[in-house]
Amino acid sequence: MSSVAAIEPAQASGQRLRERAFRTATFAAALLVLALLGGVALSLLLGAWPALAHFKLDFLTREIWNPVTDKFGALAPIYGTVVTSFLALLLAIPVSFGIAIFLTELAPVWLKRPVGVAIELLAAVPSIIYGIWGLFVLAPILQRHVQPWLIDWLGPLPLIGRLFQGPPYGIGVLTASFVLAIMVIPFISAVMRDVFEMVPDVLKESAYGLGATTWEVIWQVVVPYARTGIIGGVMLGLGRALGETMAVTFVIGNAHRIGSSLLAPGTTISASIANEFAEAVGDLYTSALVALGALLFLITFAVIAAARLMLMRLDRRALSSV
Amino acid sequence: MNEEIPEPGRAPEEPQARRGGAAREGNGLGREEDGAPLTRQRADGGLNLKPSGRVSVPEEATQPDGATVENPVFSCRDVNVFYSGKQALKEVSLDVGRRQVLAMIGPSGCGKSTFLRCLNRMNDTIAGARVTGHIHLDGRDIHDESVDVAQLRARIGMVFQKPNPFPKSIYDNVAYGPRIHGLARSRAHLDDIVCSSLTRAGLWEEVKDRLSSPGTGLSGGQQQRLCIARTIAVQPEVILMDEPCSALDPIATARIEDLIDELRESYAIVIVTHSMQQAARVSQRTAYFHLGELIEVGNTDRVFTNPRHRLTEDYITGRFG
Repeated sequence: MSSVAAIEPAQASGQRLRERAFRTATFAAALLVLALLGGVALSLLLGAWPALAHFKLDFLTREIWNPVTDKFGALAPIYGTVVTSFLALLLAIPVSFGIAIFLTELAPVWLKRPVGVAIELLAAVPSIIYGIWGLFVLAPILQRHVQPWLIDWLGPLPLIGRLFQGPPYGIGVLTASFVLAIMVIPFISAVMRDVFEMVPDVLKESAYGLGATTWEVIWQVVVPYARTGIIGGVMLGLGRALGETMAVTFVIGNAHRIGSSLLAPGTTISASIANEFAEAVGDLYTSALVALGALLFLITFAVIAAARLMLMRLDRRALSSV
Repeated sequence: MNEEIPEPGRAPEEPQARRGGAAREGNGLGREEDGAPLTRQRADGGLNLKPSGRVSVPEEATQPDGATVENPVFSCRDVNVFYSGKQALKEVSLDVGRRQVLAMIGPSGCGKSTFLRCLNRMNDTIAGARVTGHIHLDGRDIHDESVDVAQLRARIGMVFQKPNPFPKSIYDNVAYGPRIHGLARSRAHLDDIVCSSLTRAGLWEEVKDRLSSPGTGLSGGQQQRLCIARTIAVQPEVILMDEPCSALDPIATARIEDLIDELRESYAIVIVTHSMQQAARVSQRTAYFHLGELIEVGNTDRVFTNPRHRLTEDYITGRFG
């Protein structure tokens, strides 16, 4: 009691005021985030409304994209976005998995830090640099060396052969997928490395203690334990791949059609918006582009939300079992 | 020191398989000068020794009395361990005898767990750890290039401080080791191994009706006995225990200690413990570590009743630690 009485009443109320002011300020900052998110969603919806009201469901199901006749359908960009992201993940997941396993389980100490830092640096490279590199370095290499090989060897195959037919343009869906894969590898491998490091040493050691090999420990202990975290990391990479604009715009060819071949040019939602917004004349054209943006927002939001949910599950399990 | 010497005789029921190289360094290197305790160990451990086969070599000055035993399962000489350049263990020479419990005591950070982890090369899994010196298991250097570390660890079971069953069923926990080593010929044989391991660990009666429920759902003491069952399912020769009771209540601790006493009949056991009472209860030999050095080792009764080193005395009388 005496120590409480020793504080001057004026001083105490001053402290309370500061406390309250600080709390209000941080609360306002937090609210701002929600307001921004709501604002973005609302303005996207308002901007997209004319196009959505005009084309209704046709907007989602038609491939046509003709600014001259004011006919717009989002199917080609949606297809391009989904396919490039899917292919990018297909290429990036095994590589990222290898990087993360190597860094957490196999790498000598002196190599861990340099490679870890290199991954973080790769994640920080601006996407336009990947775009330039993709256009001037990767695309010619693919055109001259990789795509002819794919056309010769995979083209004649049944079923998947169609994906590898046609002339080798260099730029196209496949090239965009390659660039995207390279861009998301740092993200996925960084998350995977973190979740692998969350696997308790005691679990790994008890398997090692029973005479398990590193291979057995990785596949029977580390991967099952980190499963949800791995999926969360993949989803984060997917979110990034879906929204990536500049690099894709450089190398995808920007053609509003759905080619049967992966070597053909295509487009993605973000690439279409970036390419056409400056020259979009007419309300419907602008509105169609905004509607594309709203679609992308929806897809990305769903992916990120799914990733969050999975990471939350991982955290809960990590807490309860350790 | 390096003469080829015939391997001293061993108890006849010892399995002959997997005994590779002849005993080189280690065996016969030091003499047990602690006359009385050695006799006790023979009696306790059921060792069948033939002293005639030994070569007498003068005791090394750095080696505490009683660090060696006849026909050791582990023979360690001048073991140093560095973690990222920092020395955690200094010139430790210590033998582990067959069919007896060696307790390692000492204040936190004294290197006892570090030494334990040398014996099954668990330090290999720690980035930046370096081990020097000679550690021989049945006369064979465990750091030799020809030694497969997974096989080595299968011969040396390990029980950890925290019970750490895999997030699998009770059955699968025990069956894990036999499965990865292909020890079971058939499903029925695997069932047998699981049943007998759980029985030996004193857990069978409690879990026989729920073998398919998760091992993590058991109580702490049950989990630790499950981990012991998992360890003995691989039929190791040595069991290393790193403070196996530190997370358990007194009743569970008593059960584990009884179990250790039973297991001693078949295995060599090395146990790290913070409880001196536990060391006194379960072990036949006790080693006292301090700041990475082996200060004193000998027959447990002798170490506790008549410690020779000032540090040991201070520790066991509770003056620090």
